[in-house]
Amino acid sequence: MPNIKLQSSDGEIFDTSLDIALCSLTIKTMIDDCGIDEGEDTVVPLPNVNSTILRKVLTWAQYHKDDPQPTEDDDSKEKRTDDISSWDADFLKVDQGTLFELILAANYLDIKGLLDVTCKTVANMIKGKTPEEIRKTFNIKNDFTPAEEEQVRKENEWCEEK
Amino acid sequence: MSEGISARKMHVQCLYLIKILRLVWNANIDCFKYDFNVGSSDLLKNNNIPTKRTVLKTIMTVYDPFLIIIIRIFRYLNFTDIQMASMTCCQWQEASQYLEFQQKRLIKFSKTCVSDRLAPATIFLKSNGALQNIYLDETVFGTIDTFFSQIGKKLSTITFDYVDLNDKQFCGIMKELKNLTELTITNCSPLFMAGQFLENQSDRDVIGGAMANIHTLSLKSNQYLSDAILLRLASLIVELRKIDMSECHIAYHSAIQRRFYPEELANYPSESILTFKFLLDLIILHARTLKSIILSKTLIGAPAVTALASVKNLDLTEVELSFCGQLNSSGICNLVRLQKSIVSLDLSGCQGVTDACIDCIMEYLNHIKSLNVSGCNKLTNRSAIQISRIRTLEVVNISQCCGIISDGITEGFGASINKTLKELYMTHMDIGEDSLIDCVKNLPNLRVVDFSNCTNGVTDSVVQTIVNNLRLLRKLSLENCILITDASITGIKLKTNVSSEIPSRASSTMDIFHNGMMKISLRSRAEEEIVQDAERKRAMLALYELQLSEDEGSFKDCISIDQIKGLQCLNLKGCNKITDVSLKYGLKLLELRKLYLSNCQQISLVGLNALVINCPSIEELDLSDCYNINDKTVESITCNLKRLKVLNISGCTQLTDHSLDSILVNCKMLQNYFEN
Repeated sequence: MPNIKLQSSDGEIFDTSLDIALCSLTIKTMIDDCGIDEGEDTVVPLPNVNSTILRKVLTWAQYHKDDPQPTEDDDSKEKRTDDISSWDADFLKVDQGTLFELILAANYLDIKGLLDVTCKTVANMIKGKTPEEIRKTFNIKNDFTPAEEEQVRKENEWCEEK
Repeated sequence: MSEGISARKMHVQCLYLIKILRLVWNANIDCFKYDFNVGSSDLLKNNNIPTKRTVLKTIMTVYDPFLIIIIRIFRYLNFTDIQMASMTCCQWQEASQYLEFQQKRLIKFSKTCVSDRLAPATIFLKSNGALQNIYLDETVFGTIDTFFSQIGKKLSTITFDYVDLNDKQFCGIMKELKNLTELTITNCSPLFMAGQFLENQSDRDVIGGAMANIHTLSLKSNQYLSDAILLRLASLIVELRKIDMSECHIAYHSAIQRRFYPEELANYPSESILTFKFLLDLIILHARTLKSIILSKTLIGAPAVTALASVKNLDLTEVELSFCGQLNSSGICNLVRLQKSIVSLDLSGCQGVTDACIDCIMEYLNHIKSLNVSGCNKLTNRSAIQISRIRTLEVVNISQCCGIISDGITEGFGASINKTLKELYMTHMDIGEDSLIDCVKNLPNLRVVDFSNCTNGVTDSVVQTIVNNLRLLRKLSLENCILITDASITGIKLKTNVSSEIPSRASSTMDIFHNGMMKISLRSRAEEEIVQDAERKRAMLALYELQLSEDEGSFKDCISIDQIKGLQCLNLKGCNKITDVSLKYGLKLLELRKLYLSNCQQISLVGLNALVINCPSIEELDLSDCYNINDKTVESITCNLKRLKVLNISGCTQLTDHSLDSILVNCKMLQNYFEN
């Protein structure tokens, strides 16, 4: 497998094996469309990902490069969060800021496996918590006006699961 | 911008560099397209011309990856988790308004007045969300013109349950519901009693537009329905996909048919009786679209079922005929032979179901996923074996089939691995421990297990096998399985024999008595028992704690029920050997939403204090007849379980008004509680 050069938003160049980079459908599309030849010294710019996050993403991709490509028919599939592998769980033991940056990067780079596992991790952090506890966990600012907050609370009181 | 666009063909051109978030670059004409997913966006629903605002809003979601990510995260959450998350900030609230989540949300007005001037209706007049489903349960109505005209357009389902409403009110509501797809009118006999329902052409014209999109019609449990009423209602429906007429008085017999339809009147629908002949005509009319028929608890017999199944072009996928006492084996076989596309079949409580029917199902229904034959007493072990061989089945209910015993299960589900089956219901059956273990080991993908009232078979080993093998379990029901102990739940086995330990405690009490320190007890015998129970439990707890501190290593090997991380519902009603030990060391389940511990008299403050911390998601808690619950316990429960919606503390005799106080002060979400 040839190598490819990826450039993060802060200018760092990552010399990566092509099969790792191809975990990202965004990079794959760029390469397919631009027709990068072997050995050519092309740099793929990734203006939305900084070097810290890109390094993490590439670590993840290195470990998962042989995973089967996840299919898109997941809307009908049962949504579980208790099936995160222990490697992934360890890998994602990061502060919540990094976690959200990883999600955004996975989303931008279109890496479904990473996007799924990061979203599951966040979902697990929400489960069983009160709104106040959720805000604390993720550093969310409560931007409701008191009236809006009351409105949402009252609506929820009269709603149940169909 | 909005008016000129043909809804289905709309592509919004955007300038964007690469393919991301479903944005596609067409290189030939050098233009970028964003295809809206019509199915999941409310933008293009039902041929509505989108307004400028909705178009802009949808475009903005393309540019706001964060909102899309929140929506993605929400997909992994259950209903209540989404509700909680929506209360954190504006953006998350917006994400919760996404159609996909709204569709799972139901506004339920129960025993209240619905009026433009009163809460709760006024709350929803201020709402900016698109409410999809409304359930009216024993409601009365004030002025409701504004309410339904405002929220009505978006509603897709409505249910009237025990609502005392008249023709005029019904039409007044219905005329606003332009996008309704499901209409349920159940237990609303007064609406039909006068027999004049929708008699005026003008009424039918008014609601005609609203009825046109309905594809699911349920008229369950209504008396006084007649052929004429059904015709007037059904004639407004263009494309019927599902009809539920269970518990309605449908006349199946041809003699009745002849009496009410003498030849000269044959073409006029009767105002006084609901006949199967007429219902069949309706089915014939909608044969091409109708997929689901529910006629449970009616007197339908073999001739009627056969006639139904023979309708030309009818290709049903769902049939429910539970508790149809007149149905015999040949009728069921005919149905199965003629309707080969059935995916879901409910024959529970039909005594006519025999082994021959199961053979037929196996032979003809190649797509069946769900089969309910609970309470079909004629079924034998042979059926159990046959059912286990139908490899498409995902849901099986063979509860209360007293003809099926251990051998049927061992040679059926116990004989080979089945990874398709997701839900298994086997309550009230006399099945041995070994059979249950074999069965559990072979069904690794079960999501729901119900072994309630299998009193003799469910032992600690069975529960431990479940915990070890069924890691995907969502719901576990072991009601009245009186053999199970804390070892089931915690996996911790006592080294010392408990029973030998307890008399020694008792004898120590005797020592005190003999030493003259004990006063004569004025307690009743029941109270005495409670005290003894408490003593026994304290001894057990002490033993467990001693053993745990002694031997940390062996504790790690134990498989506790907390290994089933996704467990959402646990029923341990009447398992009275379950004590605080289980609550303290076993139940650490983040996702647990419903817990039933009725009649587990040995649980008390110690266990519940741990439980409320370890299982924060509990919404429904049943502690009825748990005598050892006191005011302190209720205080702890209400303070810590922030999501509690239903609390049953009936029969907890120690409770006083203090408990009521803490419930009132602490429970913001509580909808129901039961107390004596």
